[in-house]
Amino acid sequence: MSLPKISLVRRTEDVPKWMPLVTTLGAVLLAFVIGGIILKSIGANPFYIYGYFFKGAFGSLGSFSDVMVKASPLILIGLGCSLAFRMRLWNIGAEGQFFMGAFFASLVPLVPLVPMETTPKIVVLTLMGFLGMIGGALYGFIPGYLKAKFNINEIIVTLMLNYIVVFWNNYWIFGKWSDSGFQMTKTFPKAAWLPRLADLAGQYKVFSGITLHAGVLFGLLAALIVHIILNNSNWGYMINLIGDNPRAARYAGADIAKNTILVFMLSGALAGLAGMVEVSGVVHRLQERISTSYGFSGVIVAWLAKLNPWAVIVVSILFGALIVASREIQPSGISFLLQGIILFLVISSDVLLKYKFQLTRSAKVKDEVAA
Amino acid sequence: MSYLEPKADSATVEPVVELRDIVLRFPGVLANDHVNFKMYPGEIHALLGENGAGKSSLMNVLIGLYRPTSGQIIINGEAVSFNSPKDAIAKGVGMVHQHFMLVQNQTVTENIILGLDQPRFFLNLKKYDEEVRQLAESVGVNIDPTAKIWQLSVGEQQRVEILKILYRGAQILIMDEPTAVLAPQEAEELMETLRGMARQGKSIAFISHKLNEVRAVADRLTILRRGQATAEGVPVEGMSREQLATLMVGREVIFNQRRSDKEPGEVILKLENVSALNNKNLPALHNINLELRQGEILGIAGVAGNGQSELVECVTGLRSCQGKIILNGENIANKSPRFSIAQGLSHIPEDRIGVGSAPNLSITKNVIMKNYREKPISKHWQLDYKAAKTHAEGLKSSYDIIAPNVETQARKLSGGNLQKLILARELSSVPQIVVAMQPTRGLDVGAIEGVQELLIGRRDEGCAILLVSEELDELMRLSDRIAVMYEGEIVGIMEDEDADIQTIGLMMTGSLRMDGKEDLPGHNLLQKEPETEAPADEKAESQPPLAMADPIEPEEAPLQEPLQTFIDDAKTAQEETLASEDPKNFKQEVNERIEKFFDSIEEQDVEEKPAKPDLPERPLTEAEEKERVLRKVLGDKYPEDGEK
Amino acid sequence: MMNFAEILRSGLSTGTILLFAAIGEIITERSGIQNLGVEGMMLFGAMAAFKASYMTGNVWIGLLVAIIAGGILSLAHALVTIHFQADQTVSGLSLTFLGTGLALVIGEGLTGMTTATVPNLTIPLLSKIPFIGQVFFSNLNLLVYIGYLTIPIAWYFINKTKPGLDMRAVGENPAAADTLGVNVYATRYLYTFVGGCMAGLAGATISVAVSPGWYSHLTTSGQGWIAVALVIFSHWNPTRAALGGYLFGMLRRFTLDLQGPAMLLGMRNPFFYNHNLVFFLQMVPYALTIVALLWGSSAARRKRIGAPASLGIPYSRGERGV
Repeated sequence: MSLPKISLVRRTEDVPKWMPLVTTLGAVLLAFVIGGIILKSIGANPFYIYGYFFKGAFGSLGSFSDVMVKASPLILIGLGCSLAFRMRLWNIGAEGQFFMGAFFASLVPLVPLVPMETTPKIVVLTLMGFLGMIGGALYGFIPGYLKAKFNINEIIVTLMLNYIVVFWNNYWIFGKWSDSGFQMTKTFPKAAWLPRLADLAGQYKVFSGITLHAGVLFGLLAALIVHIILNNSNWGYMINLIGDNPRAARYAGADIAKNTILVFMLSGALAGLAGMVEVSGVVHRLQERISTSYGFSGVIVAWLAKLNPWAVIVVSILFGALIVASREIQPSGISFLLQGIILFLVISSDVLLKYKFQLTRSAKVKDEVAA
Repeated sequence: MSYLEPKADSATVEPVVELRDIVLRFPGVLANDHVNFKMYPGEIHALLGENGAGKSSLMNVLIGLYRPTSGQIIINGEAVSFNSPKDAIAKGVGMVHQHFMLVQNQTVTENIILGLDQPRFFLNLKKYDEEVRQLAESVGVNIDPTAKIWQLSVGEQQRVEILKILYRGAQILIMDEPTAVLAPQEAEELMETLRGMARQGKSIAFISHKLNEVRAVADRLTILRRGQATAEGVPVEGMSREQLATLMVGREVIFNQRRSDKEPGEVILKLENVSALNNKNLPALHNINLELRQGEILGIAGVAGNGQSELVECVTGLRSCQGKIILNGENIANKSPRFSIAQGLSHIPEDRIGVGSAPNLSITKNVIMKNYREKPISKHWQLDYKAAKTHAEGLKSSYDIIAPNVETQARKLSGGNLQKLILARELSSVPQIVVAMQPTRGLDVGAIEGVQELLIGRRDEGCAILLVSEELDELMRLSDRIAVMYEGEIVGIMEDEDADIQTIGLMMTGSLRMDGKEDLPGHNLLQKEPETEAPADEKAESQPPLAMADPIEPEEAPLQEPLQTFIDDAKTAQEETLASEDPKNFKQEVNERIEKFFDSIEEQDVEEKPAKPDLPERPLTEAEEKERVLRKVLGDKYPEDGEK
Repeated sequence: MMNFAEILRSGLSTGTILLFAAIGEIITERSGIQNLGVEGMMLFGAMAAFKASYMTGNVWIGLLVAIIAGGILSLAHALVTIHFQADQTVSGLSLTFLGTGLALVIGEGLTGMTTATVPNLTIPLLSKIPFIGQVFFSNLNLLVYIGYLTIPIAWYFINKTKPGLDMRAVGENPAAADTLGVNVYATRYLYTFVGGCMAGLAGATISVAVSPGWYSHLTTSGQGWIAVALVIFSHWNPTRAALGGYLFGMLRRFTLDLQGPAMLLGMRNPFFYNHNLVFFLQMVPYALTIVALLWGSSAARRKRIGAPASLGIPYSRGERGV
């Protein structure tokens, strides 16, 4: 006798265009379900918590603005990561590049590099933006160079660099730049603050207390630039080619080492800019905890968005909502957990795009003996 | 004449293996369409067909790798069903794959005992080394059980594969294109080993697409074409080459020469003392000197692994080397491929999937891989995808690439169409020089002809072509000159009209050198005293292949003497000719010696008789040309009385 | 002045953590699967050991739970990479997030608690050997001794047993092993599971043995990644990985010791007088990991040693070539 078996069989035709979106959404939903089960098991009420998510995230203009504030760095980091991932460069160091960018940007008001009283705001902010990108790019250069020259695993290098830069920043925060011995620097002068909607509260009462700042514009602009690079430029074509088959790219004359370094630097620059945005637009100082793991969330965002710049914006907003909403609830690690589950399920669901389930009956064996 | 029913006399003996009415279906492909296959004890049964005809698939069913969609497998009268290769091995079926399934950095013994239930836990290698040694001796195979696989030659690795299945008690052996990686003389050795095993009662299935080989060693044939059997279990005797070819491809196959009648032009590519290492940091190329002229096809012959890949990689900028490679006056050695591409060098790579294309990108994106920066596809930094698409569509239709549209991903294309894509890309840029490596490998006959016509077309327009191929027929058909590589050196270059398979075969195994170098160790085997009994610890490649070491049966012994004489003769001829400094004469001499030798063999009434080489004294007509080639290949089986 | 024996002993203790994680990952990778989720599995194991031990009062149950927890988490990675053929790098990273997230959520509220720990032991006869006895065999945690035993057992298993041979073949040439009847899928599942269990054990070693306590993500603070780097640096050799682990442990202790005394080598100790310089000391293990990778890669190129040939490449039987 034979039993039917369920097996995975490779698909031969392409899946319909809507399928990747559906599987991703399905994965996210399933993640929430599983998260809910886990919450239940530790005694929390998942429905209350999830309900709070939506209320907390989208309930009011204030909370929506908070969501966008959290989304801004995510967009930038997500863009940087999706650029690197296109070339199969696993830049997990976005967190470190973010911190390094924050450090470099902070040099402007803290050293100070330009006289803070007299320099116009636009100059200060532009300078900080540039320095943020330079800092991130430098920090991205290291793993890029090591990978290009020595083929060293960039995942480990970037992760180690993440830890190193935190200590580096701490040296300055706890020491030279410390605000009366506390674990943070003095507050930046107003010239170093990114403009926010609350600044317009005088004219528009409704904006009072709204912390949405100009950083979100950086994110949108960056998305446009990344889109143009990937879809309309020579360089983007080469990045896609190298990512798909590096041997073919080399055969076609591509300089893989140079591109590795460049892409890593650009990816780092975007993360560094996110760092500048955070210190200039949100906390207005350099402190140890300026990131709620933006770097790692940005990696997940890039993957969920399937490396598409516009999807990165959408996913970043959703993740921003997740982070904002989970501020209020216990346990505090829940947003990180949900992000992890979502990523895991999305990867698993990708299998459905390449394979389908099939019921096969094992071939029946005829028992007659050959004549 | 029906080819589908075996003769009645074989019904008296029970078949050892029967595949009955096998249907094997893959998504989108019907690999086997109601195929029947029978093998009797002690026979060598060849499975013939073009690439993609379904031969490997059928045998993969027999060894338990694939489950047939329908049909039966009957072994020794018992219907069986295999869930995995392990079941097939248990029933005595074993396969030696075309691509060896060996773990490179483990020893021979470790590879042989892999997957066995014994030893259970503790690895007592010494005991198993001894067992392997004894098994090897019993079938006349010479191997060191403690050697690591990467240290062995290709022929030796193949023998390890054979030992692997014999160790498991295989009575039914399947050889999948075994001579694809062997030189003619090594192939002969293998045939002897197989004949010996058949004499011991084992049944051997022999998958091949090479007609001559099959006719040389098989007792019966089964021919597959596009998944169906066009001949089942037909005795080899009495089948002409034309009949076989027709059954294989369904139409007449033409063997005509396509040599250029124009004089070649300027030297466009020159290699000076090029040396290089391979991926294992061992020397792969040794002082290569070569010239390639416009309007000619220079064929590179040689058994795979003698430096051809490395040569191509050095010329195309994918491998560093010493020496100079001068293209249009520029030294392109050790420079990125960008330089040579800019100089008009096109490269058709050996590996069309791994190197020649980006599998997940569309046809459009694949086709512009090398020229994406040029107008109109690109303006400054911007890529105009519309222009690219138009360009791709043009190429798709002119090169007849079969695909739904140009947005189709490259990995969905069949082998032939992918190759056409690569050719479209490489040839449409009107290159000055084309480096083509195995351009027709894995393609069916129609596609092969198409590719060859394209190359010839370019050559006639003045392009220089460096053609590396393992198919001697192809090289001889297309090349104006042929160079032979052996162990990283060019051991001979000939104009095509002077080239013949025997000489090339000898050169390919290092038995012959045209450049007269005598002081390189291990290279000029005519210098060494040929040994009739090779010491057990000497590697196979240092044995003169013509001396049959370790004869399996005493009946083989008489061949030793005439070979000895032949070698002495050839040696004398070489010395004499070198004294006269006339290489052309040397070849003539060698050919005469070969003729004499084979004449003497004939007198001893030996089974195997390769064709007598003959040199045309005047230009031949096409019919005569065809006859000459047929004669050469078929040898004494060429029908003398005009019957074709 | 710093006590060399103390540094050595500290190195043995904290090095055991890296040893378990690294050897576990070596086993997984030798069978051809790369599991970068070690950090997540370790943290999860650390939390599981602590919580289970806290809740039951029995530290042995805690150990067992940690081992199983690490193993189960690794099975998720195995399923996705072996059966679903997903990219092993991404799956491993997602496992890190998953393991970390689970540890943080389920471990909520454990910070600051205490629980029973795995006891220290002194080996009777061996501890009497002068110097060596006092350093290697006296008053060290039981898990450290188990670590000692793990090294030869792992080495022997990989190199001198039949299952080890099959495992290595699966990692080098799975097609060859498959055609000879070795079940490639099952082999890879098994050794991924073993690797996960050992990562869980490594985590438990932190939270209930060597550095008792639960400090949320600071409990591991990147040691899982150092273990992965050790795997590469040791060329997939358990003995070298263990030695590397011990060295890193010693380094940690050394940098800690540097901060203490007021005088160092007859000069004012900069770390004592300016506490902020300590941050540079804390960077050292991470920076050294990068250096180790650099050194390892050039040595590998010289000796032509590499990763298991099929590492990171999903295996599927009967892929029809074009």
